[in-house]
Formats: sequence, structure tokens, C-alpha cells
Amino acid sequence: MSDLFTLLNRATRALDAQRFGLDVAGQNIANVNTPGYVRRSLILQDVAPPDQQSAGGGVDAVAVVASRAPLVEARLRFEQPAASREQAKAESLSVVEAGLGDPGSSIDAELAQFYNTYGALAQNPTSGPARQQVVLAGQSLSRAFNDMSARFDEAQRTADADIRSTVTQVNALAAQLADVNRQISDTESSNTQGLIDQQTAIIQEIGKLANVGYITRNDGSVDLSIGNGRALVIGQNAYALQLSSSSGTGFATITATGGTPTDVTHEITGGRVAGLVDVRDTLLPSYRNQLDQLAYSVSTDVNTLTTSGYDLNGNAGLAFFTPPAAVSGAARLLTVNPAVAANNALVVASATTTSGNNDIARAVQSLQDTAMTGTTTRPVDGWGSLVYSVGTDAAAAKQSQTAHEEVTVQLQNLRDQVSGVSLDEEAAMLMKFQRAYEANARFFQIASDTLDTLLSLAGHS
Amino acid sequence: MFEDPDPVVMSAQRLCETLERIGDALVTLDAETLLDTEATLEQLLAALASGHAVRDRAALESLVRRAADALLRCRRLGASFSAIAGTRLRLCAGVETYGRDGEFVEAAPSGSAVKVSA
Repeated sequence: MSDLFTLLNRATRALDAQRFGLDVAGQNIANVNTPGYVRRSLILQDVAPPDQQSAGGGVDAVAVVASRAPLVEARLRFEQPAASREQAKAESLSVVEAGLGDPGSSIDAELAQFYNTYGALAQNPTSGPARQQVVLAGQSLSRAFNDMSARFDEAQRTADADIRSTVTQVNALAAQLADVNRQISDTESSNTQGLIDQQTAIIQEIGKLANVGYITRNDGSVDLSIGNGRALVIGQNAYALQLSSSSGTGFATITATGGTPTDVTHEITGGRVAGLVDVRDTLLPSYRNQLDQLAYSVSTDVNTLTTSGYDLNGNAGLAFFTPPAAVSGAARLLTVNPAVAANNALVVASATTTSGNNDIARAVQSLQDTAMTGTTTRPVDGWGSLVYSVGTDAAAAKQSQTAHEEVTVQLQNLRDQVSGVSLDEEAAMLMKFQRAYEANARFFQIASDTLDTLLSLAGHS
Repeated sequence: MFEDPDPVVMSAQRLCETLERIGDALVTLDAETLLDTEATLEQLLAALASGHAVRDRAALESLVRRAADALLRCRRLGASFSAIAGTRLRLCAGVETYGRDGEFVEAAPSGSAVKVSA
């Protein structure tokens, strides 16, 4: 039997345990917006009775545990870099896409205007104003190509500056992680939960910038690697990524310094850095190449005709555009031949020495409806193809970003639902959800087949 | 005079909405909504398979593409969930995932067995 003192002691212990529980709840509420904070739970344990005549010794708070879900965290670390990579691409490409201008008011309009002024010249091959209109339209078209090429240059420089700034952030976070690792190694194991929260938050932040591999050590510290296993953080040491400018383009290359210095610029496949590198080194050069090809073909086809004809004075025709030396750089360097620009009598309209002939003017006008030399596309379609490429890439990046973000939200929901509940509760929740999903998944194949049938009915019957 | 709406287009419209609801439920992990959509999905697929003539082909084509996108989203989210849930369930059940010979072993259903005799 318990005496009065024992009963009071038991009640006090219970009150202490419950007060501690309120403290833990308060801590959870206070940190609801703290990055990386994981909900804490209080573990209570009954106190064994001192003898067989006693019901028990009350309750004790024995531990505060953090409700972590390592498997979900690992999946999140996989999804976040992919979402960030696509986000960076979508952001950059939306700027490029806006710079292309609206259909009918960009290079397509300049092309149409240029060919049409040759059409007007064909109506009156000796007209000074008509010749001047051709020169002005040629200059306007050249400027449009020059500006567009400059926009691509600017987009590349912006991506490069963003890469440099992002790598600096990665280095700062790596240094922070090394410091947290040091604190975890130096701290009693019971006091490391807050540090592990910080560690998790830092790794998540780094993952948004660049995908990293990680290994947790026995003492709780985490090692990070980048690219193909290059050291970024080993225990208490951070190995900062170095930025240098490449000799050709001046763009940043990223070198891992843990071990033998290695260029990891193209080894980083996830996170913001990967998206920006893809835009800078793959997508924009591809668009520029299409633009250069278009400028080269348009100017070369026009020049081929004008050099086969005669000017107003019956002299052999000059190239209308300054002949491009190569495809590369053709858009950036496109100009009307300075001699022609200075004297519109040098504009070529005639196929003979007779000044009233308009064969060349008509032939140049008809180039707008003819496939460019060496291609199967008309000039305006060449521009349309470039616009389509940028639009498709931007839309694909946006769509992929949304897909990865949805999976990230799903995983966060999963983490929140399973953390802090017992294994039995978690299993019940997961099984119910999985049964519900599988019930629908049975119909997905039928839905897919039905949609194929309907699509063929709608599109082809 | 108003023409009756095209039943195939209406069914396709409802299919889109249902698949989009399933996708949303897969993000928020809402099992009740998922279970509710099962019967709707079954009815809609039966209705679409019944072979009505299509009057508004353009509208149908657009809806079918929307439904295909929604279906792809469901599959992606379902695969993501299953990857985690399968492993977690095996962990919860405390069952070995690999047998002695190294073969993968499916987790047995948890819960106590009840022997019933007549």
C-alpha cells in the first residue's frame, strides 16, 4: 500500500512529465516555420511498482525523440535537385522566349518586309525611293538579326553570372555543414537533435543548388560528394568549388578541389547549377546556331542573285549583304554591304545591263516562298522553327518542374503523416492509401486504351 | 433550338475531372477521395466503351489529350508513392525483404490469424 508521501510524490512526477510534454508541444509550435525542424515527441514510461501491493510508481518522461523519416528524406533529396534544375531552365528560357517577340512582329516580319521591298522595286526598277526602301529594309533586317544574337549573348552571360553566384552559395553551405559536423562530433549524443535539424536543412538547400551524394558517419556527421564522387565535405573539412573563366568563352568552369582538382561543370546533373549550365552550354548555343544558319542562308541566297545581276548603271552587281565568312557568327555580323548602303544605285534589280529589267528583283522577292539553299524550309519557316524550339524547351522544362514539385509535395505530406505516429498507425495509413491507389490503378490501363481509341476517332475518322 | 450535348464529350470531360481529382488526392495523400473515385472511373470507362457516335471531334480531341496528361500524372505520383510505401510497409511489418538465397521476398500481410472451425 502506498502512503500519503508516495502518492504525492507520484502525482508530482506525473505533473512534471505532463509539463515536460507541454514544453515539447510548445517547442514544436514555436519551430513550425524553422527550416529543417523535425517534430519532437515525448517518450513517457510507467514507473514500476515498488512492491506487489502497489499499482505502480506513476510516470516518467524518459526521452525526447525527433520524428524523422529517413527513407522519405532520401527521396526528397533525390527529387529536389531535379525540380530546381528544371525551374532554373524554365526561368531562363521564359526570358529567352519573351525576347523572341510576338509572331508577326519579330524577325519574321522583318523578313517579309525585306522581300516585299524587292517586290516593290520590281514594279519600278529604276525608282530611287524604291531602291532606298530596299536598303532600309535590309538594314532593319540586319539589325534584327544582330539584336537577337545579342539577346542570346546576354542570356548566356546572365546564366553564367547565375552559375557563379550559385556555386558561391554551395561553398558557403558546405562550410556551414562542415561546422555543424564539427559541433555534432563534439556534442553529447543526447543534445544533437537541433544540430541534425540544421544538417538536414543545409543538405536540402545544397540539393536545390547542385545534386550531391551523402554518407552519414557513425558520429552523426555527414560527408558530401559532388559530380562523380568528388569530395565537397568530409567530416569537419569543406572543399570549396573553384570558379575559373574558360579561355575561349570566358564562361565559368567549376573545379572540385577535394583530391585531384577536377572540372565538374558537366558532372553536376541536378540542382540550379545543372539547369543553368544546360541553358548556357547546350540550349542557347543550339538556338544561336539556328539563328546563324538562318542569317547565313538568307544573306547567301540574296547575294548569289545580286552578284549575278547588274546595278542601275549597268555594272556587275555587288553582294547586297556583306558576305558572311562562316555560319558561326553570321547573325551577329550581318550587315548591308556598306557600298550599297551608301549608294542605292548599286542595288541590283536587273539580270542584264539594261536598267529597266527587273528579273533579279523578282527573283529576290520570290526567295521568301522558296526553300533556302541546302535546306527544305523557307526563311520564315526557319525562324518559326527556332521559335518552336525555344517554346517547346521552355514548356517541357515548366512541365517537368511542376511534376517534380508535385512529387516533392507528396513526399513532404507523406513525411508529415507518418512522422510521430506508431508503426502500426503508419502501416494502417499506408495500406489504406495503397489499396485505394491500386483500386484506381487497375483502371489506368483500360483508360489509356480507351483514350487511344477516342483520340483516333476524334483525329482520323 | 439547343442540341443535346455530345454524350461522349461529356464522359470525356468527367473522365478528365476524375483523373485530375485522383492526381490531387495522390499529392495530398487523401485515401477517402481516391476510394470515392473508383466507382466513377469504372462507370465512365464503361460509358466511353459503349461506342456512341462522336459529334464534336475537336472538343473530344482536346479532352482526350487533357485526360492523357492527367493519367500520366496519376501514374507518376502513384509510382512515387508506391516506391516509398512498399518499403515502409515491409519495414513496419518487420519482414525480411530478401530471403536466405538472396531472392526478394514479399512482405506477408500483418495481423493475427483467426482459426475458425465449424
